[in-house]
Amino acid sequence: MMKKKKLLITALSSVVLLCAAIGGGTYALFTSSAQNTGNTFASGTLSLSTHRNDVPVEGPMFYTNDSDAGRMGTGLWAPKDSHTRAMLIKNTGSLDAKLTDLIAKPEGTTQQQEDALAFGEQAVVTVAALATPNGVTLNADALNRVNEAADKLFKDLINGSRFSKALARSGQEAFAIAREAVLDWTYRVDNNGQTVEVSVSDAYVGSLKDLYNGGAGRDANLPNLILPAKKTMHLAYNVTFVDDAGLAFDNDAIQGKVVNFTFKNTFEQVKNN
Amino acid sequence: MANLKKTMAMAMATTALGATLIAGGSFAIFTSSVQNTGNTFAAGELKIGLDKEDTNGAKYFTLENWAPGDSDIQRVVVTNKGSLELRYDLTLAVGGDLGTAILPDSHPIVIKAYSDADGNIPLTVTDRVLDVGDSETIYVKVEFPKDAGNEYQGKTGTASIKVDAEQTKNN
Repeated sequence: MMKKKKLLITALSSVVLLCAAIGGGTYALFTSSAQNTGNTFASGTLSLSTHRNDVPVEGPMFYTNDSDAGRMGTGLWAPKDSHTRAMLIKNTGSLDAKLTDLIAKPEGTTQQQEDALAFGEQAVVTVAALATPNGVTLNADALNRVNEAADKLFKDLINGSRFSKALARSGQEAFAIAREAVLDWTYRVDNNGQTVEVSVSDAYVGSLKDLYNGGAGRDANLPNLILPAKKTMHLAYNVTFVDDAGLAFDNDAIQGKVVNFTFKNTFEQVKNN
Repeated sequence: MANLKKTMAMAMATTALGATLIAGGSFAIFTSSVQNTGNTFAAGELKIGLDKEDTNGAKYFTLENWAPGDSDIQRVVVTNKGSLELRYDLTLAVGGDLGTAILPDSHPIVIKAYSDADGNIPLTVTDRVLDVGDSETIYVKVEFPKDAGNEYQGKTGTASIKVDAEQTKNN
């Protein structure tokens, strides 16, 4: 009897030991670990807001009649008419931006778009990026005076005989001449009692139709047009309806037409680009 | 009756004697023993460390205002601080919005290990053996892919670097 009990006890402890051996089979190695968590990354933003030099500041740059929607109506267009509007683009993001594309897109039905392109062929658009020393911000009054001066420059330039003669030979030649003249332009304006010399950091001159370019627009090809974070870019947009004298197109073909364009500016990050 | 009582008492006495005899059966033997004391068993220590750890609060990466195409590479020193040779696995992970594919075709931040400072030679991240007291320098690179889209604007993300070691001996 005693022997049986002892045997039984031995059998039981063997079972327990076996269990322990199985359970502990993978435990008996030393391990250690170290970690570094909570490393942080934050991406920046690229965002823009635009307004025009008009009252109110929201709305199209070019429109026919004065109304509550704007006080700078162009009236009905006739050949040799020229109007300049300022588009102010603020970089509201945290990353520097650069202008990569300028696009003018005809709007409306197929017929309206065709009419718009017919007008676009006879219109020259000048986009000048205006710069102030150290990026000084102009007050509304100074801005308007700069815009008026730029308007006069563009008007004289595009309607001038030198441009017209060059245009009769080659569009590219005429646009290059005009662009050079625009780039050379400077204007002194009083801004809060300080004289500020406004210059042109870069410019595009071409036909309004070319600015559409089948929807692709024009690669701005303006490497100087960098808009730093929190800064505002002042773009002077001029449209001049060119007189057809000596040129291949006919002004009369677009008499009585009403056309619409959207002006679009595409920006990309400067960094890694 | 008295006789029966006497017989019972006698029987009980005999049983008790018998029991005493059985219980005391192994007393009368001479014994002796020898001993060996002071045997010691010292277990080794397995300890891996990073030059910047959660325990000391330092971080490898703190990056602000990131744009697609940005990248950063940092030196990470792994040390065997214990008394046993070890081998370790390196685990790198990114999380948060910047570390997650927001859209099915998004390109979130990627994290990779390299053996050179320029980030050209990929590092084998498993079973890296370190002798006692040895350190090795590896390079961890985080990259915000250039084709990351606008869905990643103004977002944040996190990264973690972890080493898990085990003994090499008997293993």
